[in-house]
Amino acid sequence: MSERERDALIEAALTAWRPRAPDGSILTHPAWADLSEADRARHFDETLRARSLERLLDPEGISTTARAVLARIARARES
Amino acid sequence: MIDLDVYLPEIAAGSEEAFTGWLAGAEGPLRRSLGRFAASVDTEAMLQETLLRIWQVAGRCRPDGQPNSLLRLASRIARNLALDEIRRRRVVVPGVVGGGAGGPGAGDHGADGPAVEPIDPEPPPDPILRERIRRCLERLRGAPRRALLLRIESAGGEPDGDLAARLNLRLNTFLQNVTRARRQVALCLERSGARMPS
Repeated sequence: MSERERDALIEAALTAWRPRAPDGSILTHPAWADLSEADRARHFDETLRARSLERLLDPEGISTTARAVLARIARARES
Repeated sequence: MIDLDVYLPEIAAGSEEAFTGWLAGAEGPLRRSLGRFAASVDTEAMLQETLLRIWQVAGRCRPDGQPNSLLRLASRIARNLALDEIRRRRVVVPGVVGGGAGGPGAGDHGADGPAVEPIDPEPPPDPILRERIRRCLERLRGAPRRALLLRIESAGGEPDGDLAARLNLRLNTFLQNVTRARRQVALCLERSGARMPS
């Protein structure tokens, strides 16, 4: 795998979007599953930085991870 | 010390606003607590599942006289979810008790299991750093700016393929632009004499 392909996989897994199982549980991102152990460690570090950036930009100081969870709670309340 | 349990009564009563306040201080330390599992489980998925469960069980959390009881409960849930996933996937994690199906310690990680490491809340973001980052973001132009902002605005609500299509970009091009934008913001921040916290 080329460095560019690895970078793309890491970036793909950096999103807060995650697939859902039929029972509603949150599943592993397919791109994360394709990463080597070393690249998973890099992905973790990059996620820390990305979420820090998001928290600093957010008026309430929360990241896209927290926003994704809050959206899910709101959807569950509506249904 | 910050005590996020100030939010607990309102969270237990169903206040999403209080939960937002709790999340602001809890997410960072919870994510870092999952770092030792990062090679074996998708910590983003584990963390989101943990936060959803905390919302569901907060009403049953009884403070024990020490600060941050809900955060400590979340840390235990996160660790146990990670261990369950490791066991399910049958991966062995050196130094992690119970790593690997049927291995030593399997099944011994209930809510009252081994103590988790101490965990402290995240302090509120530095307002000066916030302003510097906002200015750096304003300097972004073109596709990198659009891609990063759309990724942040979507907040995990849509897969990247959908976001890329909305910008008329191929998925790989979208991903490259998000990476480029984040690097440009980090570089801009360094030039201003600050660094991105992690």
